[in-house]
Amino acid sequence: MEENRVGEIAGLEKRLKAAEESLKRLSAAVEQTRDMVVITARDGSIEYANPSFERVTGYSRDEVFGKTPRILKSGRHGRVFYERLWDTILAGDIFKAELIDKKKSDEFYRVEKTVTPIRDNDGSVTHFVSIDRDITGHKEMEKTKRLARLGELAADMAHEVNNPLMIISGNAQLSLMSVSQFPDPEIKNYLETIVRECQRAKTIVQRLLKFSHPSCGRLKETDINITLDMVTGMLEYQFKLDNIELVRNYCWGEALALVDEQQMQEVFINLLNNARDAMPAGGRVEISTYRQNGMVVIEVKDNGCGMPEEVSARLFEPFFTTKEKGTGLGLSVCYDIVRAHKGKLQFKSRAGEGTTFIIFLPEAGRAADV
Amino acid sequence: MYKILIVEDEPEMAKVLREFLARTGFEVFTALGGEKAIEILNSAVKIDFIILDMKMPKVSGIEVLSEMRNKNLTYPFIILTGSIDQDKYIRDIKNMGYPSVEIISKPVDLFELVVIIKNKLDLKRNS
Repeated sequence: MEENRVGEIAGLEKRLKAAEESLKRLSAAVEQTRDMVVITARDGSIEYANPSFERVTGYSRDEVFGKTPRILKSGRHGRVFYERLWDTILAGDIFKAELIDKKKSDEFYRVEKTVTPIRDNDGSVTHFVSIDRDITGHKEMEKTKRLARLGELAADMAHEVNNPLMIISGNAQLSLMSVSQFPDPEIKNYLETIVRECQRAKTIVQRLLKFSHPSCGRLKETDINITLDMVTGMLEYQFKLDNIELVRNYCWGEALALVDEQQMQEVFINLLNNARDAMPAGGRVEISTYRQNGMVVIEVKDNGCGMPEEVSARLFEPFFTTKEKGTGLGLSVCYDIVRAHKGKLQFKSRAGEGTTFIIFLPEAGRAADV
Repeated sequence: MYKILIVEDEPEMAKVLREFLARTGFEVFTALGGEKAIEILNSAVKIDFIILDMKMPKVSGIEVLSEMRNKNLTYPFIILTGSIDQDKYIRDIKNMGYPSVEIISKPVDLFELVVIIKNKLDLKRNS
């Protein structure tokens, strides 16, 4: 009898030990995985977060305990998105999506998210486990690879397209020479259009090339205020014709940054042209510069039509355009040029209220401390 | 009348350039490729100016320039190209010992091209 009981206890101890081991293993797996694991109660309040969550988001477990994952909201997804999430998991289904969240440092990161409802023995949902895989780097890598492929394609295309373009415009110019002996304004006009459009096609090819090779060329210490003056001087007349007032609001003294001036000019021209396009009935563009925390900051503010959320979310995406004649490359070229200068390009926009683009460039001779 | 040599493998391109330059008052020679260009350059014809394409099958523009260097032929030239490796061309040509290189991208306005050529020929005459 006694022997049996001893045997039973030993058996129980063994099973308990095995259960403990198993629990330890499971907990170590959750603690050590590179994915971010968060367990929340049914109302969304966080009960557990693993070290990967702390590492990526910058929040400690204690900070997030009792809070909801709403603290990570980046503002990049609309209400509908989160409603779909809740509808899915409250119905007991698994929710899977790619989304952009925000770290404690306000930096955005991209994750592949899976939220799984956890049920008790009765089958009712008591908790949710959210597993996020950080894919920020993946996306960057994909983009780099895509750009490299696009670069090769664009280089080949440039050669293949520029030759026929020159043959077309050359023939049109030969015809122009011939008609100059028997002037016919209409034909002359047609031919001039051919020549002009060939030049336009050439600039499109060049922009495509710039887009796929956004590296910096000749970097030189440049006073951004002077570069802006050159660009605005060039565009001012056209803007006046379009009934747009250009207001310069530069900082005192120089705004020195180490830039490829030609590329920076292209950025400013693009932003100013976008501002003009946003104000078909005319308006006002304000260009401001100032120095802040080791950065030269340039703002281009218009009081045009602004952008709805679905446009602004895709703004820097190559080939995305809302313009009838746009290539969809302007802003993505700007974005890549500014990034290649170790700068940042941001914007604020509200439909009906106008848009402000903000460029941050490291001030020459100073390390950025932002 | 100035003698211009067009080195261009694409016949339609060569034709446009030839007709335009001929109408603007130049005597034009056409080489549909690098081999033909080298043949003309080695002949008794005295060329005043060369318009040179770079990317050509068999004998490229670079090879034409290298041959000119070897034969000590110092004709002024410009590169007219549709390709984008312009920095590389400049490096390669300077490495051959040419002091300066001018590259013009296709498509170029032919009226502008004529102005560029005339300026170069004026420079040559004055020097």
